[in-house]
Amino acid sequence: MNRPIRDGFGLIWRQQRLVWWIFFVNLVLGFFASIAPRVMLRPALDKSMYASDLSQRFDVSVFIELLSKPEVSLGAPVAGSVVAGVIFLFYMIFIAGGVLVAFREDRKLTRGEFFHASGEYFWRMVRLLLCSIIPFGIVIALIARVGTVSGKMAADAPRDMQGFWVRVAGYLVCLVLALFVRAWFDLAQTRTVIDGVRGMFKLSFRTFVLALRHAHNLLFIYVTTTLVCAVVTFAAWRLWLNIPHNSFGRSWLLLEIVTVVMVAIRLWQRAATVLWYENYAELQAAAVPVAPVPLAAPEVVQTEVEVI
Amino acid sequence: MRLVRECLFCAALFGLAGALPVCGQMSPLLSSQKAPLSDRVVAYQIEANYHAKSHSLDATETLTWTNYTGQPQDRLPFHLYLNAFQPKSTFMREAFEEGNRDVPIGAEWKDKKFGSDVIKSFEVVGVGDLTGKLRFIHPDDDNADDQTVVEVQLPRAVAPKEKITFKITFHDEFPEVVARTGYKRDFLLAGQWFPKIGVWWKNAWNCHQFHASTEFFADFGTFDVKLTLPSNFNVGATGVQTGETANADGTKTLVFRAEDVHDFAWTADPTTKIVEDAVTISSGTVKIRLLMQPGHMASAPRYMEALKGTMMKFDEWIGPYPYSQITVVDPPHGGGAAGGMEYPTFITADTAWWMINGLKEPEAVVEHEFGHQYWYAMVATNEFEEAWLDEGINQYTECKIMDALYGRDVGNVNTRVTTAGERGVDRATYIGVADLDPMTRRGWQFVNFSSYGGITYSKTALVLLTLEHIIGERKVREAQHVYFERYRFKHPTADDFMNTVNEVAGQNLDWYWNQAARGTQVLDYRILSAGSDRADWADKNAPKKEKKGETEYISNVIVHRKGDFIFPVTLEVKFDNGETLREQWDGQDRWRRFTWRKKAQLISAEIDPEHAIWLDRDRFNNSWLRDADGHASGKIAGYWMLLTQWFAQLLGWLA
Repeated sequence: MNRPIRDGFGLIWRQQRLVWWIFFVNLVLGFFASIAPRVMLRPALDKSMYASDLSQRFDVSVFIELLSKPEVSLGAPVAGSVVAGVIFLFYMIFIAGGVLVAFREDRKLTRGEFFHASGEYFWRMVRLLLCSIIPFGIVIALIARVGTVSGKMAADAPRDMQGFWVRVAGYLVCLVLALFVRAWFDLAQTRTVIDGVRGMFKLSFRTFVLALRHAHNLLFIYVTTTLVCAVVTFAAWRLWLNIPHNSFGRSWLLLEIVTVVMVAIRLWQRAATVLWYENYAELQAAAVPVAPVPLAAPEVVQTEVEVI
Repeated sequence: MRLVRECLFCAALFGLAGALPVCGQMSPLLSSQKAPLSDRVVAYQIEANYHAKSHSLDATETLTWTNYTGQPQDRLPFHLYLNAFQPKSTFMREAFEEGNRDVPIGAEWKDKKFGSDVIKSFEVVGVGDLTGKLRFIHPDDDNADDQTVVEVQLPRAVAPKEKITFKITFHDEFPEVVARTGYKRDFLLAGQWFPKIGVWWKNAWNCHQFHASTEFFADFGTFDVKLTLPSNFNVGATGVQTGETANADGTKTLVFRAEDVHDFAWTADPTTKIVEDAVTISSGTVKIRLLMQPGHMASAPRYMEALKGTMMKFDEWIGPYPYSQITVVDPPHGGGAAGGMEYPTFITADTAWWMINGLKEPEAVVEHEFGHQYWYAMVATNEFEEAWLDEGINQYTECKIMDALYGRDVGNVNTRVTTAGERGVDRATYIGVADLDPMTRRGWQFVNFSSYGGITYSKTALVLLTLEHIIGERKVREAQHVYFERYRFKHPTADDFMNTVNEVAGQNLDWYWNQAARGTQVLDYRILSAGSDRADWADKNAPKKEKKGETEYISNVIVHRKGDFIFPVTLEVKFDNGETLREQWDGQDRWRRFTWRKKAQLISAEIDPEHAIWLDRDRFNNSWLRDADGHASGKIAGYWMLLTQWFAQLLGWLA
């Protein structure tokens, strides 16, 4: 019996160097993005005694004062962070093939094997990303709509908290929908690698049907792992609140650990999807009837996994 | 433990409520006040019938006005404030162009924001009906569509000290709550709801149109108001309730009396819960009446604690509160435009169901609005023309009282994530508009609403905090006390305030007022350069290696007056031998070089080492450290790095 969540965790544990590599790239991009604000703030803060209101504690009014200085502009730092985010997005697309092959093989790939797999599937992953824009766009529009409706309700509904609960419920539904879309396209990526499918648009549609049929299984994987992520984040938040403001090193370390956990949980979702699909494919293969073997001309009959 | 403490506090509140006297037996003033406290220029008697379904009312107003102007008067102006809530009014035009607290810039007109105050008939007792003699005037602009001021031409002048009585019937349509008046669902805040006569001030009628950023100005007097409304409504009002009658048609009529006040506001809501308590101050016991929204009950103890603390501090620092009651109205969710407003003996607060203890919004609003009982309700300055005298002085007292009650630097926000004090928030609001408008500018003539708020409220508070540095905190408090005692129940001017401070301080502070209040000068001093060089740098025989305590250095600090505000400053320098020196500079020149020759190197220099010059626009440039301290920049950059990583992960999640 395949247990995708448990086995997926084992798979991640065995393939944890992938987690560290992704985290490393994420860390390096974050570091480069932090150079601009650091360079911008040093002249204003490093020689000023007033800066202690930001280091020994964090006085938001002093921070606003800082932002109002003409030489402090958020334009360059924000641009740097956006570029870092986009680079990371493409990095994740690029390595998706290699990651999935590593999960399929469940062995340590050589660097050459990993990058070969990454390159082989790159354009298919890009096409899948483009296909996912529509459903993700619908979810984002839904989130915006929930915000508008619940905001109006928060002001106009007779009961105080009606708008709030509508917002909570609405966002939860949106979260589940987003997780479903994510599971759908993770499954599509998995099938690309495992089945070697090439027609991405058709695959997206067929995978949608498959994901919908097995939504309960897939959502169980994604909701469970998301809950784990939420629990870890909440625990870290509680811990972080107890770290004194002047111990930024400890805060930073704690939050980087949370970042590693986020990376690991994302890969855990992918690994669990790979394992779920392999198990599904095996069951499908076992269910395909074998044609009777003619006595006169014995030959091996090859069966294919039905592509839905 | 905190929750338990609050529950106990709540229980104590409700327990006390039963022991309080019935409001009908109360007098509007404390028993220690025998004689009228004001000139009582006006006496209003209003009978109003509120139609809850249509959020409108019909009323009859009998106004007796006494001519204390010292000259005959045959033209009298009246405010019709509710007419501001119409698409072509000056209020809406200004709000559309510059925005205000409730109307964002460029906001679309919404019919539910319509309000009106229509005079059906206007009669002068003994003269006859003058409805046809009414004409709208617009003393502040050329907007012929503005109907917020109406003037009547009398057939004969009212002689000095003569009384004249008007009988006015009017119909009000309330807007959905805007600018601290109107309805939200069943809730109603009725502010500025009746025709109100202008004020003879500085030898002229002062009756301005209602502007997007201005408030009000009126004469003291008495109010006897009868309100008829559905019997299930809970009502709070200026003054005290002196009677109640149940009517056969399912309505009730409540009678209110207020003395020595200059306005009358009321609220009605069928869902509010009433919490009552009392506080004893030097003038007697004052009843506190909270009208709470059911969903906001968690804030009731917070309001009560803040209000009691504030009342005691005002009593101790400024003077006695002479009225027997104070009513606090908690507006409903979505009705935030009704929150944070002051009327005599009647204030509105602001909270939400989610308001965590670390956010001091409920406390700060109650403190601020109660403060207006002094700086507006008793010391009744002209809010149209000199808004800083009520809002700004009140903002200063808010700083002092919130500091005293909740701690300095945490009076606004006190959470583990971040903190903010009253002073810091005032600085943050002020620095962006520092050079735009003088404090003494008329309320509607500020360049925009941000400048009005940043200057009128925040700059005034910072000016008075900085004044403490010049004459001492005790003198500033004493000056406020004298100003209050001298001008309560009067209409003082900016000059009255500044002259009072000069008098109490025993010095002419016009150099300060001219720059800080009347001018737009910006105060900004900075360390232009600092450092130590070897004194023997030209001596070829000097040892190459520096020795601590033996090598002599020449240390220089140049202090630069970057702004145009001239202010004396103190410079504190520290040397690596532990020595600390303070130098004074009158700040007159553009810069000043300070030099020391010592066997020690300079390690830091700081202008205003006591951090008492709150007006200094940029405090980051006030100091210099020899050894850079990268903690703050590192911390911010570090969090930026983490935020970038999480943002990248969010994008990566899409892949």
